[in-house]
Amino acid sequence: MITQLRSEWMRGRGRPVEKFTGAVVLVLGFVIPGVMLLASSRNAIMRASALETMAFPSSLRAAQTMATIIGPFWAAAIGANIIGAEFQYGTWPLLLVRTSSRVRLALFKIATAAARIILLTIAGVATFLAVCALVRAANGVPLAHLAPDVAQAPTAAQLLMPFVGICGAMAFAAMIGFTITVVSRSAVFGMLAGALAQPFLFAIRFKETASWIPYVHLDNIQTRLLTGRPSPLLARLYEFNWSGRASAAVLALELAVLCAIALIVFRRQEIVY
Amino acid sequence: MPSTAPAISVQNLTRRFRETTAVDRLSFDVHPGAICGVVGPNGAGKSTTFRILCGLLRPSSGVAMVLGRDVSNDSGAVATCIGLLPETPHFYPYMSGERNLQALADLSPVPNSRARCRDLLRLTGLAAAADRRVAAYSAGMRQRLALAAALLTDPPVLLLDEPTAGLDPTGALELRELITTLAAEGRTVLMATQALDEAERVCTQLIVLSRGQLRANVQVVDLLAPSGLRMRVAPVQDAIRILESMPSVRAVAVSSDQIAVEAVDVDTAALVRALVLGGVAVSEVSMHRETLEHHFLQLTS
Repeated sequence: MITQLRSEWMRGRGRPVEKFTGAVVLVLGFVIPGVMLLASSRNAIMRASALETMAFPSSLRAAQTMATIIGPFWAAAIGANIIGAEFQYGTWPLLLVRTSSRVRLALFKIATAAARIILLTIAGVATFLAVCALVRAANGVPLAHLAPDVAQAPTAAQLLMPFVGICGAMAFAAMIGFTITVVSRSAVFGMLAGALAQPFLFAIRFKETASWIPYVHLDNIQTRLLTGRPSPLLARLYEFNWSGRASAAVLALELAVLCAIALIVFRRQEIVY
Repeated sequence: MPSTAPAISVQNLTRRFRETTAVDRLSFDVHPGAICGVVGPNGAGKSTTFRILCGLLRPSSGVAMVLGRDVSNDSGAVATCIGLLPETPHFYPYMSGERNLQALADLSPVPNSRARCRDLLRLTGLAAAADRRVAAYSAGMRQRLALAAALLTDPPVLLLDEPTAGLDPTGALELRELITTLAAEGRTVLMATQALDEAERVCTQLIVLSRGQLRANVQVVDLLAPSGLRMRVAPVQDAIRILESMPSVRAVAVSSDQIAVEAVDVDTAALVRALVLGGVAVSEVSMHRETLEHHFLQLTS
């Protein structure tokens, strides 16, 4: 099992999509603090504001905002490409004639994609935080700073909880990208579907549809974990008052259905080399 | 014919693609240790048969078995005992030849895989290019790398789809020698080829396909056995009369200054003795056998 995972990891390491996604994430981590400094170079108030954003924990929130917006895109790219690359390079015959189970092969691919996405997210956030800290240190201000209107420092759980929503959104984007690529045999179509799933599902959030839209359930879980109470916003907009466990079950079921579709199709798929 | 169970057995195999029947009720057996050549014009169904045998395509009907396992129902088990060299081998172009091989070795149970990869790269003449990216490999080098990949697990059955395509004459010769060696070690080789001289030199069994149907399934030694004699004799008419009276002679024909004798179990000495005793002068006798190309054209036309 370890050697099979190693094979999967090795084959993905130099793949252009993985390589460039990684590069873009790391570059963003470096570039955005620089852009903030440049944009505020001629205005002392803006500079102070930029430096305040770069102070921990504001910098973590900024990183979370970036990950919320960009994360699903790179997750969809990696999810689609981990299987689409084999179609693109025509390497299926080489792989399939030496693997005793296609389902196992696909599960290894999903596991490797998940590991890649998590590592990339951690690397991107860590880079951004480190560069922000360096900038603050270079400006002679403390690395951590609480805004004057905040009475109490946030707990670790409060700081990390938003990652539940981010990881969930990325998992869905990646899984949609993966499944659509298996079905369509096109990595480009898979990437597009995975990346556009979030805005599309956001656009069709109504009272009638909220119960099966994953992002509503992710919001619900996150709010309940943070406050211990149902989200008033979800209740008002969608009359949505599900328990956290029920939402988690729906999310797990939806991911399992996507995974099952991919595995069933892939198991029976004919490959012409 | 060996009495052991066939390593590859295909029974009434049919594969349709919409209105096209790529493989039509194909049946043949290949016994262990044989090198079976599959020849036929383009579109004869060679590659489709290979794809079915390695589990990449499902048959529309019929059964294909490798070492007694049905490739449709037990493709996982079949995968562990075959090595495939596809018609156009593809690799990860951004990785070196050695890393490609290592990544494939990690997918299957290959003990001491690093050493095995190096040995195979040496065997296929790629040791010097092992660290180069596959993107920079020539078609022949990719073909060699694909053969190395097919041999990774030391499989008892090898499916080689046009293995010498893209190789230079020296490389093709080396590969043919390697295939012969592999079969001598007990492996069964099923090899599609367009090169009839290659099939003649390497294969022990020959399957001729045309439009998805089996035209012939013969042992090469039988196909290429002498089918008659060519003689220079005088007088010709006397020779024809004597030869036609002999029970083993099936036909006698005159072509320019020679006569062609078609006979069953040719006993050259007896024929010549009968002619000489009948007052015919025999100045030249040669065994005649039809070329594989002749048989191929007859079977596929």
